[in-house]
Amino acid sequence: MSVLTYKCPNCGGYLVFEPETQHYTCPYCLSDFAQTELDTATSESEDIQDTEENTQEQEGQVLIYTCPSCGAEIATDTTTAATFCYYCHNPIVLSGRLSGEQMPSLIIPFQISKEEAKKRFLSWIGSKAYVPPDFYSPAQIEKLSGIYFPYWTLDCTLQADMHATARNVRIWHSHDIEYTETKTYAIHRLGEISLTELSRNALTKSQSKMLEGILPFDLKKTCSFHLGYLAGFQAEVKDIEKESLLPELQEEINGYAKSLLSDTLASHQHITTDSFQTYNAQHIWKYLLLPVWILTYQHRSKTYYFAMNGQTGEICGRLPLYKRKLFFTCAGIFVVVTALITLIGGLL
Amino acid sequence: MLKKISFFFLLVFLLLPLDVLAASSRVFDNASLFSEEDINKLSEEIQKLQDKTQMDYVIVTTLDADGKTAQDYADDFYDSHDFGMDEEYSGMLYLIDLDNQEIYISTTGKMLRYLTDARIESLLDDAFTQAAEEHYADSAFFVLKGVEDYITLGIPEGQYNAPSENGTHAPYQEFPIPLAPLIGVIGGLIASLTTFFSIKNKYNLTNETYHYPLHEKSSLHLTHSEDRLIHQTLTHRKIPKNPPPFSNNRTTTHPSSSGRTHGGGGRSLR
Repeated sequence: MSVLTYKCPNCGGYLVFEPETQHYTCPYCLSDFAQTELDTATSESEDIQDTEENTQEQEGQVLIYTCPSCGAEIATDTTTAATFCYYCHNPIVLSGRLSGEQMPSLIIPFQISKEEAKKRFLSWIGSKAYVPPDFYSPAQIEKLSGIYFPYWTLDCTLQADMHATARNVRIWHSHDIEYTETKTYAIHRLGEISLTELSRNALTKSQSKMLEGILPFDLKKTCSFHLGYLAGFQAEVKDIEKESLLPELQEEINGYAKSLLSDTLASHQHITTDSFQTYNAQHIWKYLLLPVWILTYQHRSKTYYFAMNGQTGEICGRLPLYKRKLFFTCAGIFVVVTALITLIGGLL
Repeated sequence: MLKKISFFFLLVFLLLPLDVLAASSRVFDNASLFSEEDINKLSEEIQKLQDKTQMDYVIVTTLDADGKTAQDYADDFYDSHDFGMDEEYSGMLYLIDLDNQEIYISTTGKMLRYLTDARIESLLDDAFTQAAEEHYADSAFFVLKGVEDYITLGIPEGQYNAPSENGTHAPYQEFPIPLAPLIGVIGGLIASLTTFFSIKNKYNLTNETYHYPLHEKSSLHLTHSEDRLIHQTLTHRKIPKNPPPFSNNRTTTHPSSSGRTHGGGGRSLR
């Protein structure tokens, strides 16, 4: 399997992808390259080391790679597709992990740079008074990492057929007589439904709740996948296949289809559904890598995390609670409220 | 033995006049408006009504209402003499108050159910015509006769008791001192716990789940849409007339100074 670093055509240093400019920069000579410039220089800039001799598969599905820069050994999970060398800190793309079936069709490159992500994180945490100070110490914030997570999206078209009965009741008055008119309708609706961009997390080890909490991504701004986007970031590949997501999604799709057809019955009252079925479902799956800024924090043997959508800045997470401070605040509130009520009660 | 006999006689002596006393002490002609004969007749009538209805009837006349209103005087008179024949002190009192120049009917217990505001008004109509002509005894007879008729008619359907909106209000209760700290502690606990849990919840952002924006990301093209009318019915009914705003079924109640609940109504003789 091949290991890849993008080398600067000018100085030979490693290149990283800059979210702000959407260009590649060399941290050593500060050169700046667009994707097209890099494509023409591909043969020189990619330092690919092949293959069998520098990968060793080990038990527990941890793979060892050799860093193309310094020669140190790098251990990775089976789903890791881009990381850093622990020793020389060069960005490494494990291109072999992203070939064939594992080749994503689309990617949304990071739009928010690390500096911007840190700033947003600090301003967000600023409004939370009961987070332990360690959680946002400079050393901790340095651990903020940009990770491309694998997602599945599904576009689906299907036909839905619904039979229902509606009972419409109309009441009106004329002089001192009240009239009640009841009309019963047999309703039939047949329609073609299309649903786009149903998204699912495609990585088992990720906290799916967290990764769904920062949805939605603007999927109109996807680019076709290019390995270069991973330079300077970490990336994971999918280990959840679309087939295993289908049953759950199918149920969700049926629910949506029924709800869309029911929306056309708004002029009716007291509706009971007699039959509902869907058929001719066509599925178009897309496998994409989406950008997420992540910060994890260990506090009293619990893992807390902060996740930010690398495209829109949407934030999700579970924050550690500075319990002692909160306890004192609540105790203060208790004393003040008790004293106030007692005082007012005594005056009455 | 002697003790036993004397006890027996004592018991007989105590019990015998009680029945007679019960009725005769229900007419209090403090204003001397009734003749001896009137009092006897009224007592007889009351005795008869007591036996028939198991409720109490009192007739009071006065020249001095002790500075009270007719309503307060009537209620207090009834309560302070402990009238009534059951645990609810059920009964009524007819007061001819020449101090306030007012006639007043006070009701208590089960009598509240029988004598609604509307019925008391009607009783007062009859009593007033007599009292205004200074036929005080006759006005009392009319009241007793009217009450008897209404009891025979029974409790009106839909009768309800409703505390009066103005006039006598519930006796003022002082905020008990030991209760204040207790309420304080409970209030403090609620405030601090609410703060604790709301902050704790706010720090767990995973609750914010993503919902698929269905209408934004979906389209529906109806290829067939049919609403077939299969059944139609039309029914009609006559709307019942709205009950008049002054309900026949309402008995307005108010608490007296002793805390018992009374109903009643009065009319000025002026």
